[in-house]
Amino acid sequence: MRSPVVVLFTTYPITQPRSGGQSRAAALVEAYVAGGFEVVPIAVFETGAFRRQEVGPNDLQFPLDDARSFADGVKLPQSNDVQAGRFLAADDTLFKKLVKRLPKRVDAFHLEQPWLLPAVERLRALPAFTSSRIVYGSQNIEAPLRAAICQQLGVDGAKTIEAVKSLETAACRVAELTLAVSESDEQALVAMGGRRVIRAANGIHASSAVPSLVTAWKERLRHRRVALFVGSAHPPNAAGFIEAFGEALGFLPPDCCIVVAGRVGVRLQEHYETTRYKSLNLSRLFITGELAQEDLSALKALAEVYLLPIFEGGGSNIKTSEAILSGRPIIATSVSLRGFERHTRLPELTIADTRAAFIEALRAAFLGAPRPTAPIDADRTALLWKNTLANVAPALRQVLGA
Amino acid sequence: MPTIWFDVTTILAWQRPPTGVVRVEAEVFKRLAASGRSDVKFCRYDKAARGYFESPPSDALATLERNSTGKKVAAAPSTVKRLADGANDLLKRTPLPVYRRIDALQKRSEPVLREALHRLRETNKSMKAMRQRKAPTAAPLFARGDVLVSAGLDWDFKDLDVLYELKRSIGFKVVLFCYDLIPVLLPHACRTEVADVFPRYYADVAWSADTVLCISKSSQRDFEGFVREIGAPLPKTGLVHLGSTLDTPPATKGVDHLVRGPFILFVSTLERRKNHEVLYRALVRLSQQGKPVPTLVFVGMQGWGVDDLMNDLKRDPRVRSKIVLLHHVKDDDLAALYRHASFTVFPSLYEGWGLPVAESMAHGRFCLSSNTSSLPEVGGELVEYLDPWDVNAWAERMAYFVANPGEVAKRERAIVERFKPTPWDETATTVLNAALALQG
Repeated sequence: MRSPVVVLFTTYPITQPRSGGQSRAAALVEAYVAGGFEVVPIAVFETGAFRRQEVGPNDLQFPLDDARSFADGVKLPQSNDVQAGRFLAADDTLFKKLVKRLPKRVDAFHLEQPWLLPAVERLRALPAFTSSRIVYGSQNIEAPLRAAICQQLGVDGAKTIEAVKSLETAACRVAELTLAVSESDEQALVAMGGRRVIRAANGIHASSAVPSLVTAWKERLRHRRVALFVGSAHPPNAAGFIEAFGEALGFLPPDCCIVVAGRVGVRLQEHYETTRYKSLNLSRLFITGELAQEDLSALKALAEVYLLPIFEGGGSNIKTSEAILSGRPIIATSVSLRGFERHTRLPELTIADTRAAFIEALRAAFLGAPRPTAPIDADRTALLWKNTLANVAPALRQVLGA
Repeated sequence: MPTIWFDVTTILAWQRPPTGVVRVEAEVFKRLAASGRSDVKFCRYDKAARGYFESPPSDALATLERNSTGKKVAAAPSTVKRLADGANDLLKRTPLPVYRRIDALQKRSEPVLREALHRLRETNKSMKAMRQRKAPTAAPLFARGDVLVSAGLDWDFKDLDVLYELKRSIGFKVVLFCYDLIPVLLPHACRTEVADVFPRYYADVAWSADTVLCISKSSQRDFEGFVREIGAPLPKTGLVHLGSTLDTPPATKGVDHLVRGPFILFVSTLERRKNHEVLYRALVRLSQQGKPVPTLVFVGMQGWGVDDLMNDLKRDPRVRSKIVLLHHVKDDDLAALYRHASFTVFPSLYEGWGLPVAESMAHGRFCLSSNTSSLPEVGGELVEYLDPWDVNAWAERMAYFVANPGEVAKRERAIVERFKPTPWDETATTVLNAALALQG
């Protein structure tokens, strides 16, 4: 019997997942495959945005400066992903390349985020794909998030926000299955016209640390006690950290530090380099940059506290899943716990929604003795991708009537 | 009985006659060493080994004597024996031909060579420690209930993160000093590399110290304000007045070889923060107004950020002959300058204390001082204060006092009657009491 085929569209390659979005898309591929589907992942992104070794065999690249991806001839700010869908739908050469990469029969196009919807609609106008269904994988309620980013960057994002809103509403309406990462997102997606909206929360892969790497990192950190903050270059990550801890990190004892892992470190380094108390602040931070998975696992094993200073944005956070699964103490905002409502009463969790609360909680964690790791029970293993996405393949089978 | 450890790292590292912070450590050390208290011991910090080691008082005394006389001094017998033992230990690990040569040399040598060998041995120990561990040395020199007191150049010679960790693991108490927060509050008035160090340093002081002794109420306020701002815990703070008694004999010689005629004296390193600029501008102002221009004598080494000013002072024809620059002034010449000065000036933009104002009064000289930071604490009602940026005020008041020597004499009489310099004994007692209050 033929396996049903899903083509999964993203605007980033997923061969070496690093960001939350990449991890989710890669996990979706695994979930579909585990559910008996054949999956063809295709990413469309601006030329040169990723390293060559990250680019997958079906991935396509487009020029950011081509006016066909603009809105009425104007390049909108913070809209590379929107441009990807527009260009792919408008450029015959690239569209033909896309068609060549598709299997003869596609049961469903999975749009991970709404950006490539214009191209999928053009595909569905082709006789071969008229009966292909659409799955919309929402990662956030995108329009308000984009509005917040534009505001932070001080750019006029009105037209971008309008374009984003229009895309995600259209995706909800056209999709026969929509995936939401949290309860609140689920409600929002239904309100936007989503027909069959199911919860498919963010999850994580179980990881274990290599002892020799843990020892090496302990040496590198000069045996200091560690709080861990992991984040991508997504602007709200740096903004959240600064909101939580402010311009002077003297509340941290001299034998403690915050390890900042991931590309958020570049922004935080730039920020704290220009603060008045630069020497103090940089003495309390250890900025690693982007790390290999095994290094990150080692740091997670060393961390006495996980920090989740997320003050805005929808969706739910993969970093939150990782923190909860670790069993280590967590200091988190309410926003970062969206989608994890059943875990908000964990004894190792401190909810801090103000700078004063965040600082006080971290200081208290460091002044006390290190706390033991909580046992990894069923509530926590429910956070693994294989469990959070377990309902996706069966739901699509139902849609397909297979 | 718990021990009070007084840290002499700065004394041991210093190569010149002690001034400023070094002098504070030296004066307190001398008094504690002479106190005969069995519960007071001395220690030094080794940066390479990241640890503290006991230091016999004879080491610091020998260093101070050598630095004050400029002569090489034989160490006390106990130290010599220790150094020789150390050198011999080192020699035992040396290849035989080298051993024979060094041994022969050592037998003929002065203690200088022995000391050099000792230093080599210490360096060897430090290097070994560095190779063996990057984490702090936890050799427990201190015990629970002990008190460590440090008054030196800790931002240069210490690692306060090490001190914090030792304190946390052992449970002893710590007394540190706050001289000033100038690099934190006025970073633009300091070398960048200096200004960059201090925010972290004072944060670590706040975390490490149980008591911080501040040399003025102004520094105390600054320290407490900074600690609150950065969110560190505020340790107990106290005041310690630095000694201001004169340690030079009364002046007997004249100053004609240095300067002719009446003059106003300003004793201070020439650097931006000391604000020589306002005095230069004030003289120019008097010159432009056609008024008599007094002679100003600047005593001090050239420091940071005054290259342009120095150029102006040397080339501006309006005041070139009225400003005398004196560097490397001997103690007896300085005493003579104080004695013969019409009065003194101190227009500094910011100070932790303001010793030159106290010294001026100790010499019986009236001082025109700026009104900032700690300076009003030093001079009280015996000094007249001006805004350090107000060129007109400095011009007007200098001209006034030059033209009215009777007014100066009246103020000098008040100084003689009412000024009481702080003896170094009092400073040392304050430090000791702060430590005793914490002794467990």
